[in-house]
Amino acid sequence: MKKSLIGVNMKVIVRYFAKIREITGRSEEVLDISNKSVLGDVISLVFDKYIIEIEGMPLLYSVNYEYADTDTVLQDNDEIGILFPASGG
Amino acid sequence: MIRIQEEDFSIDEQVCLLKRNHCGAISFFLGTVKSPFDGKNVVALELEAYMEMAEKKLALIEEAAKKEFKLEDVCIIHRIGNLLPGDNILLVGAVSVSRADAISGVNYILEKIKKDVPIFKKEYLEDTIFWHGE
Repeated sequence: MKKSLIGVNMKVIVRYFAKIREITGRSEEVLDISNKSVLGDVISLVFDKYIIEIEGMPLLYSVNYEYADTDTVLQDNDEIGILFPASGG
Repeated sequence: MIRIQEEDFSIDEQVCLLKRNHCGAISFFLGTVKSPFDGKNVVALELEAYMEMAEKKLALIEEAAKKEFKLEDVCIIHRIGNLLPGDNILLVGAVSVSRADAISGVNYILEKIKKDVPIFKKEYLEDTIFWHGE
Protein backbone atom coordinates (compact mmCIF):
# COMPACT_ATOMS: atom_id res chain seq x y z
CA MET A 1 0.00 0.00 0.00
CA LYS A 2 1.37 3.41 -0.93
CA LYS A 3 1.98 5.83 1.91
CA SER A 4 0.15 9.14 1.90
CA LEU A 5 1.54 12.45 3.06
CA ILE A 6 -0.57 12.21 6.25
CA GLY A 7 1.76 12.12 9.23
CA VAL A 8 4.58 13.82 7.34
CA ASN A 9 7.61 14.20 9.55
CA MET A 10 10.72 13.73 7.41
CA LYS A 11 12.24 15.45 4.44
CA VAL A 12 14.32 13.82 1.76
CA ILE A 13 16.10 15.31 -1.23
CA VAL A 14 15.40 13.51 -4.50
CA ARG A 15 17.80 14.02 -7.39
CA TYR A 16 16.93 13.16 -10.95
CA PHE A 17 19.29 12.17 -13.75
CA ALA A 18 19.26 11.37 -17.45
CA LYS A 19 15.79 10.63 -18.85
CA ILE A 20 14.10 10.96 -15.45
CA ARG A 21 15.46 14.52 -15.12
CA GLU A 22 14.02 15.31 -18.54
CA ILE A 23 10.61 13.84 -17.69
CA THR A 24 10.32 15.61 -14.32
CA GLY A 25 11.74 18.85 -15.73
CA ARG A 26 13.92 19.33 -12.66
CA SER A 27 17.24 18.16 -11.25
CA GLU A 28 16.10 17.80 -7.66
CA GLU A 29 13.37 18.50 -5.16
CA VAL A 30 12.64 18.11 -1.47
CA LEU A 31 9.81 15.75 -0.57
CA ASP A 32 7.95 15.42 2.72
CA ILE A 33 7.46 11.81 3.71
CA SER A 34 6.20 9.75 6.61
CA ASN A 35 8.45 8.42 9.30
CA LYS A 36 9.70 4.89 8.60
CA SER A 37 9.22 5.29 4.86
CA VAL A 38 11.31 3.08 2.65
CA LEU A 39 12.92 4.03 -0.65
CA GLY A 40 10.15 2.30 -2.59
CA ASP A 41 7.56 4.64 -1.01
CA VAL A 42 9.43 7.68 -2.33
CA ILE A 43 9.83 6.12 -5.76
CA SER A 44 6.07 5.50 -5.86
CA LEU A 45 5.37 9.11 -4.83
CA VAL A 46 7.64 10.43 -7.58
CA PHE A 47 6.27 8.15 -10.28
CA ASP A 48 2.67 8.97 -9.33
CA LYS A 49 3.42 12.70 -9.22
CA TYR A 50 4.99 12.82 -12.66
CA ILE A 51 2.89 10.01 -14.15
CA ILE A 52 5.97 8.02 -15.11
CA GLU A 53 5.52 4.46 -16.30
CA ILE A 54 8.05 2.55 -14.27
CA GLU A 55 7.66 -0.57 -16.38
CA GLY A 56 10.46 -0.92 -18.88
CA MET A 57 12.56 1.81 -17.23
CA PRO A 58 16.04 0.49 -16.46
CA LEU A 59 16.25 2.37 -13.18
CA LEU A 60 18.67 2.22 -10.30
CA TYR A 61 18.41 4.04 -6.99
CA SER A 62 20.85 5.45 -4.49
CA VAL A 63 20.65 6.70 -0.93
CA ASN A 64 23.42 9.00 0.27
CA TYR A 65 25.61 8.11 -2.74
CA GLU A 66 25.32 4.32 -2.40
CA TYR A 67 23.22 2.11 -4.65
CA ALA A 68 20.18 1.00 -2.67
CA ASP A 69 17.23 -1.39 -2.86
CA THR A 70 13.64 -0.21 -2.64
CA ASP A 71 13.25 -1.69 0.85
CA THR A 72 15.96 0.60 2.28
CA VAL A 73 14.59 2.43 5.33
CA LEU A 74 15.03 6.19 4.99
CA GLN A 75 16.23 8.77 7.50
CA ASP A 76 15.49 12.47 7.73
CA ASN A 77 17.51 14.48 5.16
CA ASP A 78 18.59 11.45 3.15
CA GLU A 79 19.58 12.17 -0.45
CA ILE A 80 17.98 9.85 -2.98
CA GLY A 81 19.14 9.46 -6.56
CA ILE A 82 16.99 8.10 -9.36
CA LEU A 83 19.48 6.88 -11.91
CA PHE A 84 19.92 5.15 -15.20
CA PRO A 85 22.51 2.36 -15.44
CA ALA A 86 26.10 3.58 -15.52
CA SER A 87 27.30 4.06 -19.08
CA GLY A 88 30.49 6.04 -18.69
CA GLY A 89 33.83 5.19 -20.20
CA MET B 1 44.09 11.72 -9.09
CA ILE B 2 40.47 11.89 -10.06
CA ARG B 3 38.74 14.55 -12.12
CA ILE B 4 35.30 14.86 -13.70
CA GLN B 5 35.32 17.87 -15.96
CA GLU B 6 33.98 19.46 -19.13
CA GLU B 7 37.38 20.51 -20.44
CA ASP B 8 39.61 18.32 -22.55
CA PHE B 9 42.79 16.91 -21.01
CA SER B 10 46.42 16.55 -22.00
CA ILE B 11 47.76 12.99 -22.12
CA ASP B 12 51.36 14.28 -22.14
CA GLU B 13 50.69 16.14 -18.92
CA GLN B 14 49.40 12.97 -17.28
CA VAL B 15 52.42 10.97 -18.48
CA CYS B 16 54.69 13.52 -16.76
CA LEU B 17 52.63 13.39 -13.57
CA LEU B 18 52.63 9.58 -13.41
CA LYS B 19 56.32 8.96 -14.21
CA ARG B 20 58.42 7.54 -11.38
CA ASN B 21 62.09 6.68 -11.70
CA HIS B 22 61.69 3.40 -9.83
CA CYS B 23 58.70 2.30 -11.94
CA GLY B 24 59.08 0.60 -15.29
CA ALA B 25 55.55 0.83 -16.63
CA ILE B 26 52.81 3.35 -17.28
CA SER B 27 49.66 2.05 -18.93
CA PHE B 28 46.89 4.24 -20.36
CA PHE B 29 43.42 3.79 -21.73
CA LEU B 30 41.88 6.59 -23.77
CA GLY B 31 38.17 6.40 -24.55
CA THR B 32 36.82 8.56 -27.38
CA VAL B 33 33.45 9.30 -28.95
CA LYS B 34 32.86 6.83 -31.75
CA SER B 35 30.81 7.15 -34.91
CA PRO B 36 28.95 5.31 -36.33
CA PHE B 37 27.01 3.74 -33.49
CA ASP B 38 24.81 0.77 -34.45
CA GLY B 39 25.43 1.66 -38.07
CA LYS B 40 24.21 5.24 -37.75
CA ASN B 41 26.24 8.43 -37.77
CA VAL B 42 26.70 10.05 -34.38
CA VAL B 43 25.98 13.77 -34.34
CA ALA B 44 26.91 14.32 -30.70
CA LEU B 45 27.22 12.67 -27.32
CA GLU B 46 26.03 14.19 -24.06
CA LEU B 47 27.49 13.00 -20.76
CA GLU B 48 25.90 13.68 -17.41
CA ALA B 49 27.24 12.72 -13.96
CA TYR B 50 25.83 12.42 -10.48
CA MET B 51 28.93 14.31 -9.45
CA GLU B 52 29.12 13.66 -5.71
CA MET B 53 28.39 9.95 -6.05
CA ALA B 54 30.63 9.53 -9.09
CA GLU B 55 33.57 11.15 -7.28
CA LYS B 56 32.99 8.94 -4.26
CA LYS B 57 32.83 5.79 -6.40
CA LEU B 58 35.94 6.77 -8.36
CA ALA B 59 37.87 7.36 -5.13
CA LEU B 60 36.95 3.88 -3.92
CA ILE B 61 37.93 2.35 -7.27
CA GLU B 62 41.27 4.19 -7.22
CA GLU B 63 42.01 3.01 -3.70
CA ALA B 64 41.08 -0.62 -4.45
CA ALA B 65 43.11 -0.67 -7.68
CA LYS B 66 46.21 0.74 -5.97
CA LYS B 67 46.04 -1.99 -3.35
CA GLU B 68 45.19 -4.92 -5.59
CA PHE B 69 47.70 -4.19 -8.36
CA LYS B 70 50.50 -2.46 -6.47
CA LEU B 71 50.02 0.74 -8.41
CA GLU B 72 52.18 3.68 -7.38
CA ASP B 73 49.68 6.18 -8.71
CA VAL B 74 46.58 6.42 -10.84
CA CYS B 75 44.89 9.07 -12.95
CA ILE B 76 41.22 8.97 -13.89
CA ILE B 77 39.79 11.85 -15.90
CA HIS B 78 36.20 11.59 -17.15
CA ARG B 79 34.65 14.30 -19.27
CA ILE B 80 31.03 15.41 -19.10
CA GLY B 81 29.01 17.80 -21.25
CA ASN B 82 28.51 17.86 -25.00
CA LEU B 83 31.08 16.02 -27.10
CA LEU B 84 31.57 15.30 -30.78
CA PRO B 85 32.86 12.20 -32.60
CA GLY B 86 36.57 11.85 -32.01
CA ASP B 87 36.54 13.85 -28.79
CA ASN B 88 38.24 12.43 -25.71
CA ILE B 89 35.90 11.01 -23.05
CA LEU B 90 37.97 9.12 -20.54
CA LEU B 91 41.61 8.75 -19.60
CA VAL B 92 42.72 6.07 -17.17
CA GLY B 93 46.41 5.78 -16.37
CA ALA B 94 48.35 3.64 -13.92
CA VAL B 95 52.03 3.49 -13.00
CA SER B 96 53.67 0.46 -11.47
CA VAL B 97 57.02 -1.28 -11.11
CA SER B 98 55.84 -4.01 -13.47
CA ARG B 99 53.88 -3.77 -16.72
CA ALA B 100 51.51 -6.59 -15.76
CA ASP B 101 50.24 -4.65 -12.76
CA ALA B 102 49.96 -1.40 -14.73
CA ILE B 103 47.94 -3.02 -17.54
CA SER B 104 45.75 -5.12 -15.22
CA GLY B 105 45.17 -2.12 -13.00
CA VAL B 106 43.88 -0.01 -15.88
CA ASN B 107 41.57 -2.83 -17.01
CA TYR B 108 40.22 -3.23 -13.49
CA ILE B 109 39.51 0.49 -13.17
CA LEU B 110 37.77 0.58 -16.55
CA GLU B 111 35.46 -2.32 -15.76
CA LYS B 112 34.55 -0.79 -12.41
CA ILE B 113 33.83 2.59 -14.00
CA LYS B 114 31.50 1.03 -16.54
CA LYS B 115 29.62 -0.88 -13.83
CA ASP B 116 29.55 1.40 -10.77
CA VAL B 117 30.11 5.06 -11.57
CA PRO B 118 26.91 7.05 -12.18
CA ILE B 119 27.78 8.74 -15.44
CA PHE B 120 25.13 8.63 -18.16
CA LYS B 121 25.38 8.96 -21.93
CA LYS B 122 22.82 10.44 -24.30
CA GLU B 123 23.44 9.54 -27.91
CA TYR B 124 22.40 11.91 -30.71
CA LEU B 125 22.30 9.85 -33.89
CA GLU B 126 21.33 11.13 -37.32
CA ASP B 127 17.71 9.99 -36.91
CA THR B 128 17.20 9.28 -33.22
CA ILE B 129 18.15 10.35 -29.71
CA PHE B 130 18.34 8.05 -26.69
CA TRP B 131 19.93 7.54 -23.30
CA HIS B 132 22.15 4.49 -23.03
CA GLY B 133 20.29 1.77 -21.15
CA GLU B 134 16.93 3.11 -22.31
